[in-house]
Amino acid sequence: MTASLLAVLLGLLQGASAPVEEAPDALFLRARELVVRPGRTIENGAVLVRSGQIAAVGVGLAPPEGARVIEGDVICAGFVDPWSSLGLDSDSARDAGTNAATRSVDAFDPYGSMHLREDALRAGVTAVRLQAGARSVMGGLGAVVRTDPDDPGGAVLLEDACVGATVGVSRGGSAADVFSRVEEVDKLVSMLERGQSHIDAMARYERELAEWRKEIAEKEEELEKDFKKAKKDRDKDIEEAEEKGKEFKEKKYKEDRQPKAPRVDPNDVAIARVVRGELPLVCEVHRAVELRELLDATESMSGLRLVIAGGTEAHHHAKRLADRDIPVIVWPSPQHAAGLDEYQDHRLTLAAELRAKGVEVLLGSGGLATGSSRDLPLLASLAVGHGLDREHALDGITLAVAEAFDLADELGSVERGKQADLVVLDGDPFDSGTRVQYVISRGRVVVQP
Amino acid sequence: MKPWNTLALALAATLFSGVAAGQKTGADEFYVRSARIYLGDGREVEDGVLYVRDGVIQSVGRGVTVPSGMLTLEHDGVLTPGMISCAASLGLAGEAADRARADMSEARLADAFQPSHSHYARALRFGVTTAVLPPSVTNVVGGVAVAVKTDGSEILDRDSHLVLSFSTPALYPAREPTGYTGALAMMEEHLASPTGVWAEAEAGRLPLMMYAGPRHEVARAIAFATEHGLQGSLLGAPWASDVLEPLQASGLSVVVGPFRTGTSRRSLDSVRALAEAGVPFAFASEVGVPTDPIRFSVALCVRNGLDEAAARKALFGDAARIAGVADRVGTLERGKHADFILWDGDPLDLTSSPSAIYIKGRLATEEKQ
Repeated sequence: MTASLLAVLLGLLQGASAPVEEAPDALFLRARELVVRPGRTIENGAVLVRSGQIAAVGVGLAPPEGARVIEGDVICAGFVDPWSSLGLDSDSARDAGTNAATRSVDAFDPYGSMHLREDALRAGVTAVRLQAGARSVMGGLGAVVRTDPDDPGGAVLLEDACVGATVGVSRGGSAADVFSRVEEVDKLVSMLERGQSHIDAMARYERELAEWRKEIAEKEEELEKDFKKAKKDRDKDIEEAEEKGKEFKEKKYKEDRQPKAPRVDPNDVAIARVVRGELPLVCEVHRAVELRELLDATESMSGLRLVIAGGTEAHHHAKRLADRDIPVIVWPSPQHAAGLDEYQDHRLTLAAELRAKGVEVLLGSGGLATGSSRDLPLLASLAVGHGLDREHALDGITLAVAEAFDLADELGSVERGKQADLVVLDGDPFDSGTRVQYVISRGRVVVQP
Repeated sequence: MKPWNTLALALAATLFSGVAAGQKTGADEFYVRSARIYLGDGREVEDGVLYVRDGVIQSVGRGVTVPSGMLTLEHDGVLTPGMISCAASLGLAGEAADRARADMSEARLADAFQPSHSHYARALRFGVTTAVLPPSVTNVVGGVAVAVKTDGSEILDRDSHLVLSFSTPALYPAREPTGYTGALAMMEEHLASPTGVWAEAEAGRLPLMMYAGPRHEVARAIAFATEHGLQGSLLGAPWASDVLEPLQASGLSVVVGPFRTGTSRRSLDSVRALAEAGVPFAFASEVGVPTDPIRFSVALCVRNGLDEAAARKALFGDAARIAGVADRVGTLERGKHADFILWDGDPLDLTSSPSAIYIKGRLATEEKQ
């Protein structure tokens, strides 16, 4: 196929051949290599951005008049750190007293750590998943936020992206023995069961309520029909009662007893969303023992969408993880993760080993140090240096993250209709000599040379 | 890894059984042709050849001709000198510190050289072939550092540096000195009538290595060295560029890092400023970590705008000068040890890794396939 024909086709596919109207906010980006999504690259591709969204992608597009034109060597989607605490204070990030309904956004300070967020943005990291409560069994609701400190729409992209949990991590600086660690799995599972009980109780209540309403309606209808007779009967009853000097008692209907709503615990409500699969459960777990227990205990929970964070020894259960489509957020840390015991068998080949066995791998910066999100691309490079292929490394910091947190309609790739979060680089994203030249966050040029 | 590389490796493995055997007969001679060679002094050669005999570099460059029939390794990647860590605590624990005494002037880290410790093999696998082992920061006068080969074959310099600490970890209430003034007084006293290692230092035969943290400690260390006309390097000094002018005037160099993820931009900017001002610098490493902290530190700096040629010098040639072993290692030059690494890509890229590491022309370790 000739290049021009391809251009026309792509143009048609992406809807770029439609006449484009003038808009002052149009942005037109062109690169030698446009990474539309991991594994799909267009040579000399272009992206048209309007109103913060990607309006067209393809070859042979022409910039609309008045549009700002940006040229670069490589363009790809903005990086998303799936495991970060950027914008959280370290106390909230490591809180040991959170519960399922604790909202990470409540601890998020959009005005704090500005320089760290700017650094992350300059490295091409346009969004991060924040998770508070890294030292609680239930960390609470994690959020996805933009790193752009000046985003006019507010930085929060999704305030309930997941529920975070941890099992077997060092609490208060020391590692627990294996019994206590496994007990934490039980604790987590009993919380999930309470979530299930909540779902059951609500369902029962709604069923009973519906039945009651139906019965009331029937009775009302009956009364309506026989109103005159019923009134006569009642009047007669009152009369009789008066004659006998007794107090008249209104007839009781069993339909008067409206079913009582079950007591609602907000934590159970949050967990119920996880049990139903509305939100993923991101569980930080490292050792093979706890992971096995967790996988066993959740086997029958068909709705649950489990995501493993850390997974230091997850390669022992790679097949089960792959079979159940459970992604793992790997932290390819160049240092020994804060010397924590659960990272004892930390190895940089983990991402590659999991990937080789078919496990979906996300790459994150560990969630403990707020400044580390900046180094996400370097961490991905490290994973590549230890066997992960570049395509999956890019996937692990873009599209796979968006998919895991139900944001794939908005983020993660350079496709029409998504929010315009783009990185323009002067070379391969994983080479250390490569410089980020431009960063576009929701269509705004927030970093430029 | 590219098939070419694997081929080169296989070739290396087979050839080297031959070379090792030949060593006994004294015929230890071979050539390496590499797609790219970094000489270690900032220069690079495309499609160059390294010629090694008896563990020593005979010649290197584009113009080296390979006589027919000579043993030649073909490498479709990058060849560099072995990396040099200017401060590593290989296998050191209690040996590097003494909590009871502040002054350990005559302590020698050479006595703690223990090449069977697993740290050595680890450092070697990362591509660090030479390391300086300094005493810890917790003694005002820590003693004398040693420079060693990480394969354990050799002590390059038994008395490489006199190590002093201008930093707070050396000052604590359990023993004297408890403050900066006392620490300075202790050092001044040694120089008033220098004996032993202090006499060596004063005569310029033993360079200093000075631990310093915040700006005022750095300023104090620079002033001390300048006043006594002493040479050497600062160790730590994350914001050394804050005192750039006195630093430049002093002629001291700086050993920075190791940098971890999230290292502040200020520290990384400082390294860039040192490079731009022409202050020689090199990197410290740590051990017990899963990857080479030197390369990660360098990659962070390069991402932050450090010039790549300067970064390479800091890994090899400048590091050797700061370590005081530049006469034997650090650059690929005639007469120097044939310590070199075959990489599958650019060593500044974290996506690359060493395929094979040679010390004195002998295959010290290679990547397991």
